[in-house]
Amino acid sequence: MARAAYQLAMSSDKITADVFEAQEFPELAQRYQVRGVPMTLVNEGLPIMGNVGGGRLLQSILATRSSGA
Amino acid sequence: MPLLGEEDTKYLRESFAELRADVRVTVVARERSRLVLVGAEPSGDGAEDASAEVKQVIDEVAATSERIKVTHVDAAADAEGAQKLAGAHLPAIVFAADNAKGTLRYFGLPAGYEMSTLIATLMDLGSGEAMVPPEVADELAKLTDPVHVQVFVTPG
Repeated sequence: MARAAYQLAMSSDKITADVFEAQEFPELAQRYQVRGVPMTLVNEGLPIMGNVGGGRLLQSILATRSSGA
Repeated sequence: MPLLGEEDTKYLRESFAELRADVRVTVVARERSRLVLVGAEPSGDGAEDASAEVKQVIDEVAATSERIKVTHVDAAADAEGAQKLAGAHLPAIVFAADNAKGTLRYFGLPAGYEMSTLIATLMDLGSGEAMVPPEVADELAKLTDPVHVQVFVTPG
């Protein structure tokens, strides 16, 4: 998921993709209740669990367009 | 002592021979020795982080290709610059290239499986090519607000 996130961030100046080594940032892992990896958050919304592919991540990113309208 | 073995280095040299564009990598880390010199608290947040290892592994990876340009930012000497690049978390690796429009950052030490991610990302950035088909690029171009993607990983 990290590579997919980076590829999408490469493709839009609106996207920031941050990948965290969870064990080195326990306070973040705790804040976001990381129970398994990879775990992906888009704008701190519902977590995407596992290596489910870039398509799923793209959906979540594009869904942010309507959420604020 | 090197973190990458001879086989790793050989593999990287061969892989990176395909790079067509420059990749800019900025390592934002703490100089632990400097912290001690200025009399800062030796313990506390981040005192035991992986800054030294991150700097070393990125330098070793970059040494295998002239296309990979590394800049080091010492958070102890340039707190403002470090904050601007990495926000609140260190150590950080920030990636940029001409085919990268957004922000790409890795926090912590890329080890194990995540080392493969790092290499693949360097290859993507150095390809000089678009990462998504035109129809996806069109959809992404309609984004109007910032999107923050956070991926949590472990070395595995």
